[in-house]
Amino acid sequence: MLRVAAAVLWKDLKIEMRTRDAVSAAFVFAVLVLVVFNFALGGDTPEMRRLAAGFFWVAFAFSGTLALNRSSAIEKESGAGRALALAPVDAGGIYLGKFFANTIFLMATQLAVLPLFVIFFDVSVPAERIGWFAASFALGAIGFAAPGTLFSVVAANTRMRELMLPLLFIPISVPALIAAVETTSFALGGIDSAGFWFKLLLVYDVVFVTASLLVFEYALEE
Amino acid sequence: MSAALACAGLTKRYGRVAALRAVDLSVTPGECVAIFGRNGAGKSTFLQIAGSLIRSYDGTVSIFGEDIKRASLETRRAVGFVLHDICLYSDLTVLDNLRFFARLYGVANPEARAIELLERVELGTRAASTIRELSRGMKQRAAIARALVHDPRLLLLDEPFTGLDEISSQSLATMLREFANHGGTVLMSTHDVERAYPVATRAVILERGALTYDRPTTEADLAEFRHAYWTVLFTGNTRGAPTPEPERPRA
Amino acid sequence: MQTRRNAVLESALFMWMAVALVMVFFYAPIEKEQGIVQKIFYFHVPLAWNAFLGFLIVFVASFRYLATRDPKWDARAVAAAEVGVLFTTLVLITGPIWAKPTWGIWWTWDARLTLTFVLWLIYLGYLMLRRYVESPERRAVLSAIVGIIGFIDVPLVYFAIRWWRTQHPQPVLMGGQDSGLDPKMRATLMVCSATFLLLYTVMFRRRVAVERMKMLVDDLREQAEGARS
Repeated sequence: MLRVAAAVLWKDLKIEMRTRDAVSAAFVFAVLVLVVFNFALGGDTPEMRRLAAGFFWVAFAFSGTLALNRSSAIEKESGAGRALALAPVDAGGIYLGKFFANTIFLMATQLAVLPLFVIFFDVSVPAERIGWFAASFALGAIGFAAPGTLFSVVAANTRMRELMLPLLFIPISVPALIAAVETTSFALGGIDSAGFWFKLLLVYDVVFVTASLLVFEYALEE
Repeated sequence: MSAALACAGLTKRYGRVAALRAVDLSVTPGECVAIFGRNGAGKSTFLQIAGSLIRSYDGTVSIFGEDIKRASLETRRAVGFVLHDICLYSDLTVLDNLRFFARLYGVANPEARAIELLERVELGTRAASTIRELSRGMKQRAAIARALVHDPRLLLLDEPFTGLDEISSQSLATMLREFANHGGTVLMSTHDVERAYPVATRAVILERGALTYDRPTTEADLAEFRHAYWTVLFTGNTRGAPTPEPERPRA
Repeated sequence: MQTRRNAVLESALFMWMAVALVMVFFYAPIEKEQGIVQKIFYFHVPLAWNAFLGFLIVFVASFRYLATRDPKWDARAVAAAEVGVLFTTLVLITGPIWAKPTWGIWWTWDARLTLTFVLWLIYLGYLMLRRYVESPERRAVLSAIVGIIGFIDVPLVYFAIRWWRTQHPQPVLMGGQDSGLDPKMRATLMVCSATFLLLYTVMFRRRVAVERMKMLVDDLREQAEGARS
């Protein structure tokens, strides 16, 4: 299974390095969302700074679906995904490979958006919480990639892929979304404790990676 | 030794249309079988079922003695297929594609295998080109390399000669002959009599989902087969049994 | 299709409904602070419980479908989802109807209402997915995946929202009922819960029957067309 995962991960990374489609699309969209928030909600105010974490994750939730969509779109072009799905290899391995790749892409998007986020919302991370900040980003990205990778394949099988992925994925991601916002707020110094949220996010990640892994073979059937 | 592929009573319906009707076919290892038929006769459907792309049908299909619905991983590894879609990643180079599939299948020494296959399909010079940049013929060859990467014993090809120029056709024919000579079994669907018949060891005609001709290629030369084929196409003979050969023109 | 069992269930349902309505309007006392509007509670709560139960059924049926590939489990899953989404919609409608006169606002993101809303969205996703997949087998498999994953999410959503609301408190729509319910009110609530459970069952069974008839018709049509060609 790990061999398969490694092969799929390498393949997805290579494709992305060549085309940079997923990360650039997600990045641009995230920036647009943040900009729109700024204009719609009155620019530079203390409220905005307080809610900064929320804005970030909203932008991420929507732009993330673009990156996730790309993950299954590459498989549909030229039918390559079919050869992959039919290969007598462990479906769980295919899931893991794609999941790791998506997590990396999502984190790359986060890092790309970070400078803009810092500038627009005038936030800074207190030194002692930098580790928590990184953890919040990482766990959040994993939380999105875990069910997202699965649903991306499910949605790709429908007539309206662009609608189905967000529709399926966003309600399911509510716990992760709340937890991500709370943990990032904590990391930015906004609130005092977020122990519960970190734990929830961790549990969410573990539960959904496991569940998606087990169910993935059914999504690959034709 | 069990048949490379055997089907009994294979029937597939799409609502109103019966794509395949109680097809019985048995292919022994080492054969190179060409399935001829007009468009819509059921050739592609047959191959897709054999390749596990279509999973609901009536009747049984088995590969090397195992029912394909319940076949072991090892048996499934023994099959390689080249279908209408080339099944390669457009944005990766040919070499990267082959390396990926080699790694996926756990081939020992994936690098070397990828390069070896590239040479074999005569794409060595285009190793660094992405799939997008290749011509139809080259894409087809790359697809064949992909199909061969895990050393299958049975090769399924759907319309492999379509869209190929003369040179590519020749090299494909050579490759198939070589594959068969090394003990591999080939099953291909085509309507290209000129190119496929000389390569095949056995020719089969499907007409409206039923088998109407099934003879080794040694029994009829190209001209005779062409005549038989056109007869089927124009008279639309749909009786299940192989038809007796039409009268040979007296010299 | 009127089977004996359906007839029994449906007559029972009528009786229970009659009893429940009588109890709600005549037996249960009028709540002193909220007045008569509070009586929506007797509908709102049982609807919510049964909506969640419905989701459990979707989960079990989805699981069984993947294990057996028997279309009857898919029929059960979609029936449970459709009746469930109906009940959930009613919860979301009765909530604001109750809230506005009582607390002056239509909606609050209180724990239970929010949880119900998320559940509604998941149900909706399930049903829309089914709409956009052509082949019946694919549709059954893909929706089974969503049914399973969605259900696994529910406890996580519950904990997340509950903790979130303790940190950012909002007016609680159903505050305080569980503690110190007048025994007459409790009795009425029990009767109403049983009634709605019965209602769910009746609707579920009818829906499953419709689905199975659809499958039968499709089958016959295929056979007829196959025989013709």
